[in-house]
Amino acid sequence: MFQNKIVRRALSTVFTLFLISLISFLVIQLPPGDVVSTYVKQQEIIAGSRLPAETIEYLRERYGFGEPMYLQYLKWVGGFFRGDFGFSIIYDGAEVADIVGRRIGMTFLLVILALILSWGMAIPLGIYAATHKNRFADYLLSNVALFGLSIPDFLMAVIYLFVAIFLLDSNYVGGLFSEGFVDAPWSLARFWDFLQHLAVPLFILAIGGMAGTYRIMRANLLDLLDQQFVETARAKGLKERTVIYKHAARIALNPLISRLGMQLPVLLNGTIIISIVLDLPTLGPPFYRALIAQDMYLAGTVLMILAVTLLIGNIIADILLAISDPRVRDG
Amino acid sequence: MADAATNPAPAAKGDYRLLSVRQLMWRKFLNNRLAVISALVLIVLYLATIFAGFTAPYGPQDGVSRLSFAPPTRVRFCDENAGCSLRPFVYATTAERSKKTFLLEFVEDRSEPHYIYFFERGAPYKIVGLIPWDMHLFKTRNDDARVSLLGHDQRGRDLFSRILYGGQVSLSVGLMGVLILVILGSVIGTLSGYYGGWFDAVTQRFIETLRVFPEIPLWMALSAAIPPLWPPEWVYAGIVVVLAFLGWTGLAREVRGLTLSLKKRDFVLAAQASGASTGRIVRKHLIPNMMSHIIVTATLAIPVTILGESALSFLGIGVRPPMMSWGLLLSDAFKVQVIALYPWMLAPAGFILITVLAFNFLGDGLRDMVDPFS
Amino acid sequence: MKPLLEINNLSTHYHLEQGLLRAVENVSFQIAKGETLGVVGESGCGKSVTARSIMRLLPPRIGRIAEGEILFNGVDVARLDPRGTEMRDIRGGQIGMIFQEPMTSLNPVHTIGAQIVEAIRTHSDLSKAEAMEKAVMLLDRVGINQPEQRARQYPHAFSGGMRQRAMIAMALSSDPALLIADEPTTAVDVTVEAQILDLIAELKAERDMSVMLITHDLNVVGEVADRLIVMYLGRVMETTTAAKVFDAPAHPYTKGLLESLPAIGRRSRLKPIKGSVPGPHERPPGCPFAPRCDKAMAICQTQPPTFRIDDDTSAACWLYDDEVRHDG
Repeated sequence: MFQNKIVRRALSTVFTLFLISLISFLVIQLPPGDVVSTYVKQQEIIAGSRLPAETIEYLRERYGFGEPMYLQYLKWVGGFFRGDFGFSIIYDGAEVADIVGRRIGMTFLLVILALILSWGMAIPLGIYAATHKNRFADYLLSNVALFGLSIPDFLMAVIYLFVAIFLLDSNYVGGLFSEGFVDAPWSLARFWDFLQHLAVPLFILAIGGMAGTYRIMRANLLDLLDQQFVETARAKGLKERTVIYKHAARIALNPLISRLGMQLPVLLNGTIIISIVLDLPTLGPPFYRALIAQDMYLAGTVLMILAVTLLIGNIIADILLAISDPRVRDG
Repeated sequence: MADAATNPAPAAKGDYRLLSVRQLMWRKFLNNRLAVISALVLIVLYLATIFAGFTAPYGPQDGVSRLSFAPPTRVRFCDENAGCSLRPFVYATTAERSKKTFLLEFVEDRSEPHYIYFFERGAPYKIVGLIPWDMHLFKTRNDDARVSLLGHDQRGRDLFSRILYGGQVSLSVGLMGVLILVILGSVIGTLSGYYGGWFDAVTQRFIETLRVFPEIPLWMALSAAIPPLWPPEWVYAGIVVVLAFLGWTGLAREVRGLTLSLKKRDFVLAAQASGASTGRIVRKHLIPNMMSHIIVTATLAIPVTILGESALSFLGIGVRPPMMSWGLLLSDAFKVQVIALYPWMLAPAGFILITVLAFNFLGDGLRDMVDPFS
Repeated sequence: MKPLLEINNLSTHYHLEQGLLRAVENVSFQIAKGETLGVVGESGCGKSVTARSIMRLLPPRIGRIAEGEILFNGVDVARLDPRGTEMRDIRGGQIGMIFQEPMTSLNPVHTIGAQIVEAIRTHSDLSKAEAMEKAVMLLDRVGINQPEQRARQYPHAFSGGMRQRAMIAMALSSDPALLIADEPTTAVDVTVEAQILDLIAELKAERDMSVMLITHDLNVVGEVADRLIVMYLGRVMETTTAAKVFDAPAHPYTKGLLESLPAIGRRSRLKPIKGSVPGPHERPPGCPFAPRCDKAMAICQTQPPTFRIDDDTSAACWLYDDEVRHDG
């Protein structure tokens, strides 16, 4: 039974991976003309030099241009197993794998830190609001949450830029490192500098993620506090704190975990767009530049990597939920 | 009003048992003050942008180069010479080169008040692009002394007027996108829930896949693929399609779930047993029962779509000039020195924010309303 | 001998949006050591609220003890801080409680063993291992097979009857002097019901414990209770013994309840009480049962006092007033 479920899940994951690669390939193929021609043309305009004929021939061969679509797709997918995700035009023919590899860590570091921060704020506030239902603080928090839910990340980033220019040290606006630290090795000073740059983007991201989490936490906990087993726990003579945290809030976390699959893409959206506005060294800026320049291997690959990572995130969320909720594990 | 006519015996105040479900819903909605205010705000916004030609004092491309980045004009009621009047007026804005910084500075020319007149004839336009007219809600009679509530852009165009025209795109994209989304989502959701089988399996897998793609990057990629040489109307349509392309999955899932639970209910089973056709069952039994859910989901999808368009246009891969949208107008502000020197250029952000908030509050109110007994 | 629990003139009010609800009014009764008291009444009669008042488990800010005293071992529980240490020692330590819905009474994400261990360790200094040992013993005692394995399982692996047994084990884990059982058998099968009632009776005898058994079913009370009180709309209508209630019910309401009850060997038709229980905000002014009572009189518009009928029995009904009886 349990094994069966894992096998079925694995099969459906493989199929989803296939669909993801198909959609990404479609995105790569959408703009008119093939990538090599665009590259050749761009080299002529910018560098004023023609690429050597062998190079062009090599690239055509490598990506199967001129061959039927499905062969091109197979060549592209086949490259993944050798770590070959195509080449980038805007980065002067550099390997997409290198460009993505350098920035993917920072992207998901931001996402995960934002997730931790948003839960860290939303869960205590949700517990507070649920245990103080219909009091002033509850009303206030709930309306503020709806407000927070409505402010899009990119607008918040724009407004932040505006505020920062008037009020803050503009040294910390944009990028994740001050000039002297960009290529410096990690040190305490560099880390502190990094944190100062990180604070506001993280906060903007976390606010967006927090509002929804808060609302769900509050609603769940309100439901749970009405449950019989909470009264059982009180009837045992437990402290009210133990009753709320160990018996009610602990279970209210489960829906949050199962919602991770929806929350991660939202945070990733925010990370990408904030990174573009504030120029943070994540996958956002190269993705944006690639789209503008029709550098499709880079753009398509970033898109695919984001989707695959989210898929992995979903699987991790399911595993966490199974660990956290015995009913899911055994059922 | 229509409701009162169909219910000849209005219920006594406080006696909820005599109210129909629809009346209960209506009451519940009216009790949610935020939702009502939001609905009113949205009505005003939509009317003001649909009739932008009338509500905007100037045309969207009507610029005066000497007013490049001129600040908003102050609307006044009291003049030193002419005294105070109920009729508001503005002073003409003139540019002077500062003797200290040698930068252009704008000052008010206080020699003469220019009164603002309502329902004033001015530049001709076409109502909804069809009926030519030249009436404007308000403007001055002197085109050298323009009233500009939100300042001017780089080319000396009135930002307030441009925002009203830009709203035509921003606000309609949400509605159009959601229209497509609702049709796609409810049709696919109903079919997949009602028939199940391989169709259901394939669509579910497809939806799952689309949902692991982060929304904004996929929008960006699809939108960037719209050929730059397309005419503006095509670009607009392309963006609507791109925005609807991802949104329907959520609704389809919800509708599928509802269909699954509805098709086991007695009234559907009874209809099947009495030989009603599938089309009839879907139309008469499934759709009416899901309508409220669909409306709520649609209402909450509109702001998402509006934000999507704003974000895309803001990044320069959405609608392109000469079309206008709030996101595109905002991108004009997005240069550090522009934001710092001409903060009024951020005004479109305020409009986006108000619209999105209003839709979210409205959707929340509708969701509470649909569940009238809670 | 002093009773274990003595309740005098208890009134508990609920402050709801719709107004004040007098859930329990002027209720008095006693439970002696080793005695089983049945509390009988239809739903909404205040029996559960009485139990929650004793446990101080009323919903905060809504339910309040307005008047009266609840003397448990000489301590007035009504005066204690419901969240304070003293009250928490009594709750779960000296008074155990089990509830109506075994399916939802146990926490779904903690094992049965862990939940019992938690109860034991709240009221004793036992180590985790010692507490677990005791929990397994208790599970064994309440009739759960393979208690060691079962203790490691989650509630969803238990049937309703087994969950109620586990609840009993948990309630008894600190050797309480009083067990409050709030409709313990309402949600289980009839066969399981008998087993659970037997179990409660056995355990009570074994431990010389007192039991307050709340039920809407007079037959249940007849099986296990020594004495009983009958409640209606927040008031005690009759106090009597299990022996007498079937033969000589005193209050017209008790009679009505009995006549609406199927019993073995009875031929006559079941006779339901006319009318229905009025809503919580539509309490009649005088005797709460007057509007449904066959024997209602003019004087029933005023609240009757409690009349003593004999050593064991008393009833709140004007029929037992000497003057009324002579006039009528």
